[in-house]
Amino acid sequence: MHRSERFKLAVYIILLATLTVLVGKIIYRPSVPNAFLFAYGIAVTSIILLLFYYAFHRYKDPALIGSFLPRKKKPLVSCMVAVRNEEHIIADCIKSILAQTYGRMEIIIVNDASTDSTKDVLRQFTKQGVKVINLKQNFGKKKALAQAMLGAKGEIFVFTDSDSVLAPDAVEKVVDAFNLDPLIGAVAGHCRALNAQTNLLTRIQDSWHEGQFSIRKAFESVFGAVTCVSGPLAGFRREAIFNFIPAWENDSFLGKEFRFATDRTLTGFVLGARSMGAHLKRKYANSPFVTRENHPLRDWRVVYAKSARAWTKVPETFGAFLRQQVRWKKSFLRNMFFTGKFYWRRPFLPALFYYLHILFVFSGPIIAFRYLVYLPYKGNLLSALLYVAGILFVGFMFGLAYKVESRDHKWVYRPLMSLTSTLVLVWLIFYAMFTIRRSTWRRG
Amino acid sequence: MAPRIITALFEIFIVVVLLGVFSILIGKYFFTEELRAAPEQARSAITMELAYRQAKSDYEYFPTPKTFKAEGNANSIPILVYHGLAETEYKSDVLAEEFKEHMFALKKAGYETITMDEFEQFMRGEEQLPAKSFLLTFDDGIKTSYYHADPVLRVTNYTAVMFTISQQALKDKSRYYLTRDEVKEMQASGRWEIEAHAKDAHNLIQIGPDGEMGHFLSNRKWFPAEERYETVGEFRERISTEFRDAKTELDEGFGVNTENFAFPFGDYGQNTHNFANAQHVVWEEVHKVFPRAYYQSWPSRGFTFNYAAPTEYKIKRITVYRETSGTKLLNALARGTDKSLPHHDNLTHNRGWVPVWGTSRIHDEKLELRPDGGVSGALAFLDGTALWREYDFQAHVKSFDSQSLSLLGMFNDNENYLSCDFYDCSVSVRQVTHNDTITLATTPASQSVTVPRGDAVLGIRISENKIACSVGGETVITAEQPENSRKTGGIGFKVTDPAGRYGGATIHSVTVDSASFVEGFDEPRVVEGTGNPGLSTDFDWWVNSGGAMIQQNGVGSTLRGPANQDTEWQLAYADHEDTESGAYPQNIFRLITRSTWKDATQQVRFRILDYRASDSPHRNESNGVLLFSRYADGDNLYYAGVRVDGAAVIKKKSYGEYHELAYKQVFPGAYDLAQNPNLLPLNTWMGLKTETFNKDGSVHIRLYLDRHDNGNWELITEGVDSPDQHGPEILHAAHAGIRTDFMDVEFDDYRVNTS
Repeated sequence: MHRSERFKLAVYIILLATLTVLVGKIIYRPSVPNAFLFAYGIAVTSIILLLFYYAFHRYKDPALIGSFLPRKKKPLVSCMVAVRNEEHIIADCIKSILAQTYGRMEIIIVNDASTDSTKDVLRQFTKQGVKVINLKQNFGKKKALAQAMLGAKGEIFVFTDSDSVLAPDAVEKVVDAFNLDPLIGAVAGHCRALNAQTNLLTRIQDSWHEGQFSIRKAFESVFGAVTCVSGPLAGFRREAIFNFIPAWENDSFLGKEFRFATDRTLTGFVLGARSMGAHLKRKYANSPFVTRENHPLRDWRVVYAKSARAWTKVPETFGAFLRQQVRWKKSFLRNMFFTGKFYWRRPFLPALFYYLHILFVFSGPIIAFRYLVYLPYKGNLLSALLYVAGILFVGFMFGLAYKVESRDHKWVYRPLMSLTSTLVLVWLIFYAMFTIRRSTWRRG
Repeated sequence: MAPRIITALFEIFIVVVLLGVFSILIGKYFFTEELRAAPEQARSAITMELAYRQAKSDYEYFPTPKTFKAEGNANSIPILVYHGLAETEYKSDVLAEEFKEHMFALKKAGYETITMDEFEQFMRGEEQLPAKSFLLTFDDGIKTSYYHADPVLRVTNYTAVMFTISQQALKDKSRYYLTRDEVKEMQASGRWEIEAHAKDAHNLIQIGPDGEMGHFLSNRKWFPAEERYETVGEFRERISTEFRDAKTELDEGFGVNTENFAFPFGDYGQNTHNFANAQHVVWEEVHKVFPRAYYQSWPSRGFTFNYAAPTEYKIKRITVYRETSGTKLLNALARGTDKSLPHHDNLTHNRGWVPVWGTSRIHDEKLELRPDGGVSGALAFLDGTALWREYDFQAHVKSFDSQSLSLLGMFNDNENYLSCDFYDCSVSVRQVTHNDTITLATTPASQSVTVPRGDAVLGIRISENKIACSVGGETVITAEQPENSRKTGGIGFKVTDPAGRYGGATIHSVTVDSASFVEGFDEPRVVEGTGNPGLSTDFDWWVNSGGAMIQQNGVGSTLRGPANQDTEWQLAYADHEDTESGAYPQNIFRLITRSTWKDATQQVRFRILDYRASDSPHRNESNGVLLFSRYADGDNLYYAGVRVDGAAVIKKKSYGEYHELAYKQVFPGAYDLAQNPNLLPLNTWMGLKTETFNKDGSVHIRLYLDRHDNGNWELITEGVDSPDQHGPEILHAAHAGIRTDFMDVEFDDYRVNTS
């Protein structure tokens, strides 16, 4: 079967199967009718169906469309990485940056007071034109990157994480995407696991990453409203963020400095520039980021370029995996009160999904409890089976979507991620809530 | 290579899981009901299948009980009622194991269940059911009834009726009662029918100011807020709504048309605490919704089985209690089964004596009746005698020391019977009805009658219009039967004694003979033909075919000559191929007695007035003047008589097939269908007589002829129906009667005597 035919067939299977389940949910009359559960179930499936529909039929990679604005001169890109105690992987990361096909680029690495031999590793690259800033004191990722940006000359900032590796054409694709439209304020790249082959856990995470990007970000990208330009490969237009760096690096939540959610929050400034930009500029009027340059406030579009690829190291132990999830949940919680304030100004569909998502994150554990514990305890063992079947079904659909993109067999691990998510991860939201003030930045 | 294959297999496995998950979801959403019920159904299906297999093997080893032989058709139908079936001794219901034993015993004894529809047909007189038919019912719709009974029903091929409480049966979940799904499953099995038991009426209501609780249907409700009882109108409205709802909810819930209602607790108002007239209102209201309503009647005040009666809406059921063995149940059913005449009871065991009040027991080969605490008498009747018509009931009384001893006849229930009341020096004939007791006759003071207190033979003789009491075989008084007395009924005993004395009676043996049936055809009248015997307007006769039997000028006869055009008979028989377009309905004439006899002598005088050479294909040498005996139905009977070809024959008809038992040429001549079609003398009175009796398991029939009508009976021939030939012998009591073909015939002096 030709690849494109196989692609179409898989897409039809996904859409039809999901539609069937949706129709089923609509006509289904449970023995104990409950309007909330009824609406909830329909909403969940409708969202998944629309996600797939937009990702497969409406999304086009902005990096591959071709620029409407041919430029004589390629824009200068500042590629920045903050690193702390990553002596083993930072070299791979920098090597992949040095190997970029894109020509006009400066590379700035900020060493956030590493206590291992990172500093020595970095020194080797200074000869190859890599600018290294060694901080005396541990400031955290945001402040470290702010330091880099203060000296950056690029029109476009590309960030990557110290434990990530870029594809050789990654920066080029990001720039291509920016070139599509001057109103594109940020570009998210496509990210997979670097250490996918290590064990089952990393394989599961890898299969999950695929869908998080090629389906969820693709959906948001259709509306130019990607909510999180993820750390491993994040491109920002200088104009879109430069004035807000002081607000970003000084982010506080519940009266304490909030050190997580670097990427999510930074994306938030791009998305919310019009609604809060003026206020923030006034607030940090004395910051060099504001005094040096003054950029207009625009309705930036935030898009996702599937062809701009990066790989990041994912946790290899379950404990580390959980810690990462808790960190993400905290970021989510923080951004609920940040992005949530203005995201409703974005197109209706992604906005609706965004707020429903917030609802699902909180009601998910309660519903899982109902079906997996409460009803079986009351004697209805079938409910747990049916609930798990529903969860697995969604996992399988994402698995098939993985298969659409990749030829390898890792799609089979995707349902396990759904299961893990339902059985373990959804519950972490409460833990994250209660520990959100304990928020020192720590990686790995 | 290998890892790739493993990977491929793994992917295939995952695809299979995916399809599985998808089918589960499809099942959840599109086959919700099926899936919801699936686990429970699977569990119960497995349990039931195992129970079925167990029951099946139990059945094979179950011994065949000793029982009476099933003969002919059932005259009455017993209905058994169970509730739940208990698994352990700690519940009061019949044990599941006991139930199994009951059904196996019944099945091995030749009993078969009937459906509600068959019962209805039987009650309407539209269908004959074989002897040993019974209706199996359960009340309440309890889970255990279904789960324990169904495997047994499957093994025995029985069906049952479940009287369900709609309020419970329509629920989706219940620990005790059957749920909607289970009831539907029962219906689908084809072994269960659903009828109504109640909606709310199985719950108790407050029936008095002090919080007394009582049965819903038989008491007036107490309204605590208003401090009053409901009015009769409110009572009527409440129970009427209940009946209607009980029906509608089941009908709509299960797609049935319920026409039968079983009273919760068997209480149709008789157990009322605060409303004396409850019974009357309850029956009236239930009958508006349900053509038939069921109550428990054991111990009873009347016969325990149900007799065909199209308009009877009170249906009796026999409660089967805990600790009833299979044998005990069979005996109970045997006692209620219709008895034929003559009946002799040496009282070695209970053949159906049912106490109504006082104490009566079979003990030491005697029947003892004795009043007990507070009751000034005792009454017992013999079950299975409801259809007895004319008989001579004699009792050998060992002793009696009560004030009086009564022999009861035409007993229908404790409020409907005739009696001969024997006192020391007088005998009275009385009629007891619902309203009062009427003395029909008493021996005058002038006539000295001595009723021995010991070793006496007392009797009551019931004939069509007379009641006669006898002492030592001598009739001491007679009375005319009142107009309103029942035409059928059984026998019983009653003792009365002033309270406190407890005088009773001891009976040695009982003998009941059919009174001989003598028909002189003296009363001018016409007995019209009817479709079934129950519809006949005549007390003695049923004209099964031939239009009518005419009684005039002191003789009976077939219709004579051609029926006038457009008369009722002509029109009724216009399409009948044997009647020349209705002109001669009498061509095929069948006159059947309504009474039955077993061993009996039957005789008649007859005169052939005319023979008709009809072109009917049924006119042949077998036509003649013949007497039926043991006429069970139109296809199972014996007949004996003389034929147009001059022969005397004795034949048997078994399941519609004729078998010749005897043949002898009597009248000379050469028979020829066209030229010489009748060798029997015309316009000559002759006598025909048969003797029918059982001997060593065979049926013997002797045919006599009185050629010159001068009392000179000549034995013509004898036929024997032995076992294992021509189908089953008809050994039981059945009807008698006269058959003629293609003739106008007059009859006189018909009589049947028990031999």
